[in-house]
Amino acid sequence: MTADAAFALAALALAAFALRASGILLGGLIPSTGKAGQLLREMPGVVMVSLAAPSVVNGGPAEWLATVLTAAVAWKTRSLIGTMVAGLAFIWVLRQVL
Amino acid sequence: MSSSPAPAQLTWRGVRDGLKLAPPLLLSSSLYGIIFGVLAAQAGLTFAESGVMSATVFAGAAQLLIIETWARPVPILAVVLGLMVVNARHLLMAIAMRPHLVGLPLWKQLLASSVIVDDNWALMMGRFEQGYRDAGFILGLAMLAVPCWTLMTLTGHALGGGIADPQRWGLDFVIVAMFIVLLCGRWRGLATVLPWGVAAAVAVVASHWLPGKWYIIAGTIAGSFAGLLRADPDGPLKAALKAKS
Repeated sequence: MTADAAFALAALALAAFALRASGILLGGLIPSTGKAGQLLREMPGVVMVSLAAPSVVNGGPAEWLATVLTAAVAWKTRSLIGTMVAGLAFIWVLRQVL
Repeated sequence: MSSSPAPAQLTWRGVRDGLKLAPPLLLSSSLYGIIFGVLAAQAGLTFAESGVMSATVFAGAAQLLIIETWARPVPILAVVLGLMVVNARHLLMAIAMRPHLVGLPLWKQLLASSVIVDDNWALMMGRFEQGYRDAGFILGLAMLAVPCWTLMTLTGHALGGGIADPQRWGLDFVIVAMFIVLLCGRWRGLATVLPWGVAAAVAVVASHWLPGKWYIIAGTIAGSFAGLLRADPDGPLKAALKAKS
């Protein structure tokens, strides 16, 4: 491994850790009550929505239908593994058919 | 979080709980690992470079961007900036996780946050919000995922090419299915429609206009603030409604 590559990899490892750690180190500056606290409680849900929505909406009919079916299974069963397996089956079949 | 929770923990028992739930996450990280390895080989990274990167950076999307900009000599500033842009969401994720870690020694808080990726963070937050207190869980989820991701990167690098794209197998949808079931658990009726709707709309629009994964940050910020437009569901409004009924 050349020196520049080694240096780049070290910098990347440090930056990846620093981003994750700074949430812990700086998070204490954000109060957990009032509006800031409400913002913090809202965050996990909206992060998940923001992650998932583009993969669904920017897909096509197969993704849209699979999402509806997967949501129905998720709502009914509340099973993590079961829903992931069902989602995989739905998208696999729908991408063949549609 | 409004009621006083049990103290935070980080124990082997939590690690074991995480290990039990790890297999489905390994399936998708393995496949993406192979693909990353193949692409890393094509981008000119050596076997050792791609393995070291997977083991220490542990972030699929960021690593894909990094190898896009990889060259000789390595443009250090460009690759580091690329990583910061794609992984900026980890900062928000760690901020959201922090209240559940308070009380642990700082090194344990940093240890738990150091393995954050989209899927294990979402599962950990789901547990925390059901009153589970053990941050060992996220370490258990990552404990096999990091070596698995690294090994599969090396396997992909050794194979060098000719691997089918993950979409063909629907593995890209597994993580969407996971978010759907976790979101079902977070549904609070009408109170969630506004923040989630705004987050989804902004994320979708931003995904067409912003580079990398900035759409996640855009959706998150817009959605969180939209949630502020109504009174805190656990605050005075709910109390007032309860008093009425």
